[in-house]
Amino acid sequence: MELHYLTIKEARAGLKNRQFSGEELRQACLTRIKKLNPKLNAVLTVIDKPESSRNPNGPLGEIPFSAKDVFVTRGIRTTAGSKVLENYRPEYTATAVERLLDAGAVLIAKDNCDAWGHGSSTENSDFGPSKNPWDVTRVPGGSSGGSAVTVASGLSFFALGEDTGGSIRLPASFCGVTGLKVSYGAVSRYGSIAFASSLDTVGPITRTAADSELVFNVVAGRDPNDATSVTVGPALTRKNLKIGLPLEYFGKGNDPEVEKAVLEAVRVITEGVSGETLSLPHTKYAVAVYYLVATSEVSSNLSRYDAVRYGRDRSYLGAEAKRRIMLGTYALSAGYHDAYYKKAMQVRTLVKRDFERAFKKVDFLITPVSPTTAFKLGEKKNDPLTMYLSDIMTIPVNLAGIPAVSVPCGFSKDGLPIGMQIIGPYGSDRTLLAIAKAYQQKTHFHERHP
Amino acid sequence: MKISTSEVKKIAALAGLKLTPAEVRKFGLQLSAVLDYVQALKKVNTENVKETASLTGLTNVWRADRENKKRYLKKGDYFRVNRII
Repeated sequence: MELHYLTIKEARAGLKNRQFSGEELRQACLTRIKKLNPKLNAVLTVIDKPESSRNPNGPLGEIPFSAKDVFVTRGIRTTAGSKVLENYRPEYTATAVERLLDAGAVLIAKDNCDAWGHGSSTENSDFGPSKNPWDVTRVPGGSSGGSAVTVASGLSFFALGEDTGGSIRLPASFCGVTGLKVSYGAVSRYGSIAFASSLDTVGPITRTAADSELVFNVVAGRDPNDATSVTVGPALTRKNLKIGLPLEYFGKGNDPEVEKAVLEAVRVITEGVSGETLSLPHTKYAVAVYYLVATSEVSSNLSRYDAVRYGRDRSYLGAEAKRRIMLGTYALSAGYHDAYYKKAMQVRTLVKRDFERAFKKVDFLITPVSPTTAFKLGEKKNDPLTMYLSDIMTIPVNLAGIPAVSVPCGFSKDGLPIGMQIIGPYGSDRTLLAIAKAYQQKTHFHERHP
Repeated sequence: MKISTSEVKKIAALAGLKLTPAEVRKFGLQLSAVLDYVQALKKVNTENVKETASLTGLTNVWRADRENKKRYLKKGDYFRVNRII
């Protein structure tokens, strides 16, 4: 029986019925990692010493999972994808990981990612890029590329990722899996190596939306160790939810196959009722806002890497990290602060208001996750600005702090996955997952494997 | 928005980064390109618009000052010295 592509739900049922053991699941993943990781480079650290589940009958009992290498794991190397932390062994474990372990999940790997989360393709990892399992000459997306690959390729049953500007949603869409960017604060960031503290979110990457809900329910909720954490509410049960299509996310600039797949998905979800077109006029400023706000926060968050308490010195920082630190330092410096940082923070309010206004007219928005399917390795690497524009559809959501889920909704002629993004108002995480679950009951895109 | 070599050096110094002359030149060009791009924000009317600093609206989040035995340092993890103050 092919165990490595079971969903969490199927695995839990199989375990309960004693069709297989937790150890068999773990071995299935470890064998597959051994076989495929040399080619895919999805995993940086494998945890293969037999570690029994803390809670074999828990909601995630004996389910093997991996975590993006930005989550500190006590005693287990955590690199954040950077040579600065190549040998760093944390003294504590991130809350989200602890909650997963307490629910019975078994950590088997730390996933490759763009160093510090800086990137949209995993090409900025100091340990080499991960490869898209659907076409290994292409990127898996980033920055949680390694995590999306482990889930898509059956190297783990689910992964814990992190999304600051699209870092869960983009790789999920490029790899054909489901990725949830939670409402800001819905999942504790304690132990998540900080990129941009007003934008970072922690969330699940899974093979199905039903699995995503399981994982979300385990990790979400207020944490006394994270003063910015909140507890979001249950799913809305109201029928006939109104769907909006923001015109700035459609039309020229999109790969026609992507646009077609997303519009078809809208038809499936609304059962033929047309989505309402509306405008989010400040969309075109979102990337500029992000690359001032996020980099400013980066210049502060990465100043702790001074080799005093941990890690190597700053000469080990990669080019992208240096670029972002300098951009942020400049934007915050005397004489430039008002023109850049303050201005960006003001425009951020306008981006947020666009969504608030939209949600007075509709309940949810649907857009593509990216204008294209996975691009080739090396294609955008030498032009930072072009790389930044890959996130054009995911960034506004982070600026507004609202939740969004990336759901597989088709394949290109070349067999590359296409993802749609469902965006909801703050706190609507569970309703988003309910919509995604219903969609996955009517479609089979999420069931295909590379 | 062209950024000069001296500005790049100054920013690098502020950020604790040592750059080679080649890096100064390369980053100068790349940063200039990004700054060019963000000039677009100048066109946005932000009169009377408050900056977004908080997304949750939370203020003064308290928790009980209780001990957590899981977070005690284990013997051997640290040095003990005599009280100084």
